[in-house]
Amino acid sequence: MISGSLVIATAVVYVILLFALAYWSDLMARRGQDKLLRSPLVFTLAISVYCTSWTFYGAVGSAARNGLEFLAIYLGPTLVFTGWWFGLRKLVRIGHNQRITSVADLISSRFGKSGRLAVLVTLMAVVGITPYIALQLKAIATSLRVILGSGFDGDELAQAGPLPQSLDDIGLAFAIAAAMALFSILFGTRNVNANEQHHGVVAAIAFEAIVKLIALIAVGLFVVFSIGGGFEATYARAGDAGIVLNATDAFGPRWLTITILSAAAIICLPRQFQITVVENADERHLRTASWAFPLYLLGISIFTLPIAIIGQSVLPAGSDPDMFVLTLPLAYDQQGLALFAFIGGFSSATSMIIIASIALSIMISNHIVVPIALRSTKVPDHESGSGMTRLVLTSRRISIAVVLLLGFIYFWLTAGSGALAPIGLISFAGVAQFLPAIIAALYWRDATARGALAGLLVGFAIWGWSSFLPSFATSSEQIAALLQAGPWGIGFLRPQALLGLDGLDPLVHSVFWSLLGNTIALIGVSLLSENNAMGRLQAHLFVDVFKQSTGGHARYLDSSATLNDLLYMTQRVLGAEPAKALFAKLAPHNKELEATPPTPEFISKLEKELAGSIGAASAHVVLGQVISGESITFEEVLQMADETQKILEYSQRLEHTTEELQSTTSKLRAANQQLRELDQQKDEFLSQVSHEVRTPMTAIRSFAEILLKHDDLESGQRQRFLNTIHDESMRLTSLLDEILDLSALERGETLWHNEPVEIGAALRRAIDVCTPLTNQHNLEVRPKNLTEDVWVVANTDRICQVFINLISNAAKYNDAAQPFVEIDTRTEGEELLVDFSDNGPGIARGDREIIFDKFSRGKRDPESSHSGSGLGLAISLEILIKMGGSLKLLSTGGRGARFQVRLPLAASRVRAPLERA
Amino acid sequence: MRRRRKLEFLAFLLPVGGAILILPPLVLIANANTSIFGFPAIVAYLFAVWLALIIATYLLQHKLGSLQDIDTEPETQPAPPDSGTLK
Repeated sequence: MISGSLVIATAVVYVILLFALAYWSDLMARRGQDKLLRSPLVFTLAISVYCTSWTFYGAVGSAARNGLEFLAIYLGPTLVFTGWWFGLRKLVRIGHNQRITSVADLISSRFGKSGRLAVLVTLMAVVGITPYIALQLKAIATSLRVILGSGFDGDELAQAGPLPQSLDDIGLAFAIAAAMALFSILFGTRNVNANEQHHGVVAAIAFEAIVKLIALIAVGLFVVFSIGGGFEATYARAGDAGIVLNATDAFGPRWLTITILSAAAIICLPRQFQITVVENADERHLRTASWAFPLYLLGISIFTLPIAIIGQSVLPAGSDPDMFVLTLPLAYDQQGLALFAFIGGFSSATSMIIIASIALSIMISNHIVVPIALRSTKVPDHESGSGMTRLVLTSRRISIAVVLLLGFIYFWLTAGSGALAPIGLISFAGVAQFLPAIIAALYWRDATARGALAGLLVGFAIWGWSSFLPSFATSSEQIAALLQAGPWGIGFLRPQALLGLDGLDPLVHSVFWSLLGNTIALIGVSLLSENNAMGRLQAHLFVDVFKQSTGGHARYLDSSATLNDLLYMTQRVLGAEPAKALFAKLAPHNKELEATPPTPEFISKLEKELAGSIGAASAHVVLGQVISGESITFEEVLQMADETQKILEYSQRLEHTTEELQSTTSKLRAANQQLRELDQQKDEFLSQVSHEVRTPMTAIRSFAEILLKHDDLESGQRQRFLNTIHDESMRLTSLLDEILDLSALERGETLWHNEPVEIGAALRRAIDVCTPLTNQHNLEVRPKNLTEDVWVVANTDRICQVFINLISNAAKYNDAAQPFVEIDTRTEGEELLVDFSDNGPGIARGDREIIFDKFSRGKRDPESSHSGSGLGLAISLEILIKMGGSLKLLSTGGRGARFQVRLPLAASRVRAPLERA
Repeated sequence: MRRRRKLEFLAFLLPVGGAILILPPLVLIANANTSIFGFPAIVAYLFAVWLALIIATYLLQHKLGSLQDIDTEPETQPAPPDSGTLK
C-alpha cells in the first residue's frame, strides 16, 4: 500500500520540478540560449499534449469496451501530419505572417478581423472544451482515489456505494480544479509577451510528454511480459477477456466518424492550435513533427490493447477498465510502478489543463475582455502606462479560473458519469465545428464572414442539441425524457434522432448532422453574401499566403499620429519596457519620436506585433483609435493586395500596348498607301515621258531612214527632211530640258535668289522674246495698265520664263480670226496681279482641274499637237510657288482663257508707285 | 519545377493513400480471424500501415525540406502576377 502522504509529496515535488524547468527555460530563452528549447524535438513533444489522460487511462477503457476503436483517435492525426505540406504548413505560415494568437483569432482575422466571429468562436471553444477539462478532473480524481485507496481491493470498491464515492469525487475534483487553476495561472500568465509564446510552459509540456510516454511503456512492458507472457500469449487471451477484435461492425460509420473527428481535433482544439501554430518557433520544425509525432502516437498506443486484455482477464469483473493502467501494477504489488504510472497520468492531465486553459484564457481576454475595455469610455490608464497589461493579465487569470470552474461544474452536473473516451468525443465533436470555417479560411477565397458565422452557429447549435445536451441525461430526468420523446413531444426534434434519423450511433448522428448543417450554411451564406474590403484583403493574404513576399503589406495610409503617440499606446498594451524594446526593434533609426510620423509599413508591423498579444481584431481597433487616418479606402485595398486587380492592371497595360500597336499599324498602312500612290504617279510620269519622247524620236528615225535609203532625193526634199529632223531633235532637247527643270524644281534643287524686280520691264522683255512667235501666229499682244516702277520679289529670268510660257500658250492655241492676248496688271493689297486673257478656244470645263498637271495640254486640235511638251504650266506653277506667288485659271464665262499670276510686292517699294499713281 | 510537382504529388498521395488503407472497405480485408507473428491480423495490419506512413513521411520530408528552405528565404520583391509559365 502506498501512503497518501507519499503520493501527495511525489505529486508536489513533480510540480515543483516542472516549475523549476519552466523558470529555467524562460531564463535561458531570455538570455538567448534557447537552441534546445526551440528545437524540433521539443516542438514535437509539446504537440503530444494531444495525449491526455484520455489516452493514458481512457484508451485502455475504450479498448476494453470497443476493441480497436481507440486507434482511430490516433490515426486521424497521423493522416493530418503526413499531409503536413498542404495543411499544417499553410496554417503555420499564416500564423506567423499574421501573428495569430488562437483559433478564434485565425477565423476572425481571416474574415475581415470580425469581432463577432472571434467572440463566437471563443464561446464555442469554452463550451466545447468544458467536457474535456471535466474528463481530466475525473481522471485525476479517480486515479488519486485508486492509488490512495487500500491498494487493490475489489470488495471495498463494491461495498462503497456510488453516492458517497461521488461526493468524495466531487470534493476531490474541486480541490484538483483549484490546484490546477493556480498551477496554470502561475505558469501561463506571468507576463504578456509580444508574440504570445511561452517557452517555459512548452519546455515543461515537452518534459511531461516524455514522462507520460515512458510511464505508459513501463506499465505496458510489465503487463505484457510479466503478466501476459509476451504479445502472442496476451493476444491469445483476447477472446477470454471478452474483447472482440474481429467484430464485423468494428470498421463502420463510427470508425470513419472518429477518424474524421480526431483529424479535425488535431487542428481545431485550442491547445493543439496553441502549440502547433502559436508556439511554433520555426516553420521547418513541422518537418520533424510530421513523422515524429505519428511515431509518438504509435509508441503510446502500442500497449493499449494488451493492457486492456490482461486487465479484463486478470482483474475481477466490474473493475473500471479506465484505471487498468494503475490497478494492474497495484494488483501485482508493483507500488513503485504504480506511482510512476500515476505521475504519468498526472502529467498527461496537467499538461492538457495548462495548455487548454492558457489557450482559452488568451481567447477570452483578447476577444471578449479587451474589446469591451476598448469600447468602454474609460480604459484603465495608470501613470506607468501599464493599464492595459494589467487588464490583460487579470482577465487571463480570471479566465483560467472560470474555465476550470466550468469543467468542474460539468463534472458535477454529469455526476462523473460514463467512461472517459465518450466525454472526450463530445469535446471533439464540438471543436470539429471550427473545421469547415478553417478549411474555407485557408482555401476558399469567396468564403465570407457571414458564411462563417452562419456555419459556426448552425454547427454549434446542432452539436449542443444532439451531443452536449444528451450528456446530462444520466443526471437529469427532464433531459432523459427529452431524449426519449423530443421537445414538446415532437419526435422529429429528438436530439439523437433528428428528422427521424433513428438507429444511428449517437456520435455518428450528431457529427453527421452538425458538420453537414455547418458546411451547408457556410457555403450557402458565403455564396449569397460579399466580403467587405478588409475581408477581401485578408482572404487574399490567407489563401495565397505562399505567393506573397514575407514582408507585410502597408495597410494604413497617411496618419496624423506621431511615433510617440503609437509608443504611448503600445506601452498601455504591452507595458513600458517591452514597448520600448519593440520600438527599438521596429524603428531603430528614429530617435525623435515626437516629430516623426510613422510609415505605413511601421504601422502595419506594429499592428501585427500587437495582434500577437491581444488578437487581430483588438489590435486593429487600438491602432484605429490612435491613427485618425484609419484604414484604407476600398480602391487602395484592391490596389495593394488584390491579385485580381494586379491581373486587371496587367491586362490594361496589354490593352494599351495593343492600342499603340494598332495606331502604329494604321500609320504604317497610310504611309504605305502614300508610297504606293507615289510609286504609281512615278510610273505614270515615266510612261508619259516615254510617250512624249517616243513621238519626236519616231519622226527623227523615219526621216533619217529615208535619207539613208534614198540617195536620189532631190535637195529640196532632203533639206525639208533634215529640217524636220532638226526641229524634232530641238523639240526633244527642249522637252528633256523641261523635264529636268521641273524635276529640279520639284526636288527643290534649283536655288535662285529672289530680288526686287520691276514688273513692267520683265513683261516687256517677255513680249519682246515672243515677238517672232506672235508674229508667226498673228497674235496681237495688248499690254494694258503696264505700270512703271512696280516691284515684286522674284527672279527676273524665271518670272520672264513664266510670262513667255503664258504668251506662247496664247499664241499656239489661239484659233480665232483675229487672235489677241490682253495683259493687265494691277496691285491688290500686298500683291501684284497679272492677268493674261486671250480670245482662243478656252479650256474645256473637264480639263480645268488637270491643266496644271504634267503633260496635260487640254483639248486641242491635232495640227497644233506637236507644239508643246505639256510641261509649261506645271513648271510655271512650280516657279510661282517658289516665289511665294500663285497661278490660277479664272473662269471667263464665254470664249477665251484667262490666267492670273499673283506675286508678292517688294516691301520697300510698295507705297511709292501707288502714291504717284 | 517538375521535381517539385512530383514531390508535392507524393506529399498529397500519402494522407490520401493512408486514409484509403485504414478506412472501409480496404480495412475489412484485414479484419480476418487469423494472426500474423502472434498478432491478430487486423492489429498487425493497422500498425504496419501506420509504421509505413511514418517511414514514408520521414523519407519524403527530407526531400520536401529542401523545397521548404527555398520557400522560407525572404523574398525582396513581391511576386509578379502569374504569367502562366507554370502550365
